Amino acid sequence: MDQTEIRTVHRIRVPGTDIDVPCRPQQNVLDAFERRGLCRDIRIGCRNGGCGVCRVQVLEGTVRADRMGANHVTADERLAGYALACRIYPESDLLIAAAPRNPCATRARTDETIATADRRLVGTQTACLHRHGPACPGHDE
Amino acid sequence: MAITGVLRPGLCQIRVLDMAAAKTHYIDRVGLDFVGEGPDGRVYLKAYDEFDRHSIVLRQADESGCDLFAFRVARPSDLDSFEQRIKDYGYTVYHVEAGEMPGVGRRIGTVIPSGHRIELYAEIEMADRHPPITNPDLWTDEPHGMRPIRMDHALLYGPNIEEVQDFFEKALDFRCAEKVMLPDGLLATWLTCSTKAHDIAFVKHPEPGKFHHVSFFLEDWNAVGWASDIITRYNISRDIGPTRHGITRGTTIYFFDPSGNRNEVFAGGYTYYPTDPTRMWDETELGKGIFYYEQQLNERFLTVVT
Ligand code: FES
Ligand SMILES: [Fe+2]
Repeated sequence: MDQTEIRTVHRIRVPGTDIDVPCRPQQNVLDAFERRGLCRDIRIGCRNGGCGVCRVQVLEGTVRADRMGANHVTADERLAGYALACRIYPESDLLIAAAPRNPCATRARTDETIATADRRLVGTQTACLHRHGPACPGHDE
Repeated sequence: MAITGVLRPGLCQIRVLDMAAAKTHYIDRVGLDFVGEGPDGRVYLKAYDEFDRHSIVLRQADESGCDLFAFRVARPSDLDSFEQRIKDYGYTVYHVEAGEMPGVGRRIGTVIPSGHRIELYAEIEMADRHPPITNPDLWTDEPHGMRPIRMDHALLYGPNIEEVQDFFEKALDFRCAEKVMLPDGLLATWLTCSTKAHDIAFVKHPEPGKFHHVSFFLEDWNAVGWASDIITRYNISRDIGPTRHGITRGTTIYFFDPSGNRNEVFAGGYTYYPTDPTRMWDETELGKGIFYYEQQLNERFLTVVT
């Protein structure tokens, strides 16, 4: 990599928040978030394109993408800007939003388990962090 | 009780997004031996102390996860008796012909209500480079990577795990060594067909057919430390550990392969005998059951699957 490559840093922003994370072109977006400790908006999972929990939508900007699970992002969805944050590398400044698929099916069970199983724990998140309406089926349980 | 019928886990076929990266991970880092590549591109691997031809099968696919988990049974005739018992239980049995995997005899299988393919087979060739037999040295070629001794067990995520447990107990003669009961029912079950604390485990999950991890057995706690050093040195995506489970008591570290499939390497764990009661955890101490030192439920460990 040449000197300009080393010095290039793109900014990643999330609409509706003051998040503004630096990310190098050779660094994946999830890694940039994880290193900043900003895990509330985009969940950290396998970091390798398999689990799908880091799914986002790129609203502005361009990215380079690695292989990612087709069960998490279909070809059509990719055209609409959906991607796994751990598999994309910025080629410009980015505006991204968390876009978990089926946000609460998995989440609800954890919430329930965590809430009922161990209320003593500090820092355990018991509220769903995903952006969804009251119709979310996982939360009706 | 002598071990009869279903003996132990034998085959785990894993879907990977990038075969080259998967080979580097499983061979150079985890430390499995390369056995061969089949005509359909599947890659076959084994641990150094396994006599059988292979245990891990990698298949290139466009999504990660686990295709199937298979157990070796003692005799070919066991396949017929288990086929009958699976049918009597009410499940459909499918057949896989000998040679579908190189060196492996015919297999029978069924899709259990958690959405997983579980198979049985009796025959597999002995590995070319098997562990020494006569005046046996510790190994034929010195162990490398994390020095895994064997592929040990898998943990699978899916619905209907009460029924899955009942099926394993009634149709395949497994026993439940340990379980987690929440007020709304069974959350997790560790099932054994041997004297290991578990040969397969299930956790309740809304989406069927999900894969939590495949696990490799290490020699001791020092080996878990060595594996941890490798994980950091090679920037392998770490999940949690080194730590210990309350459940099964294994000392352990979890990490992800380059396709996001979770791996475990562990050592220890208690010996289970068929006369032992089922150990049980409830909601009050579940954090300690899952990670004995942290004593906290870990959201990523509990929910991230492929
Ligand atoms: S963290 Fe698992 S797909 Fe990105
Ligand atoms: Fe395990």
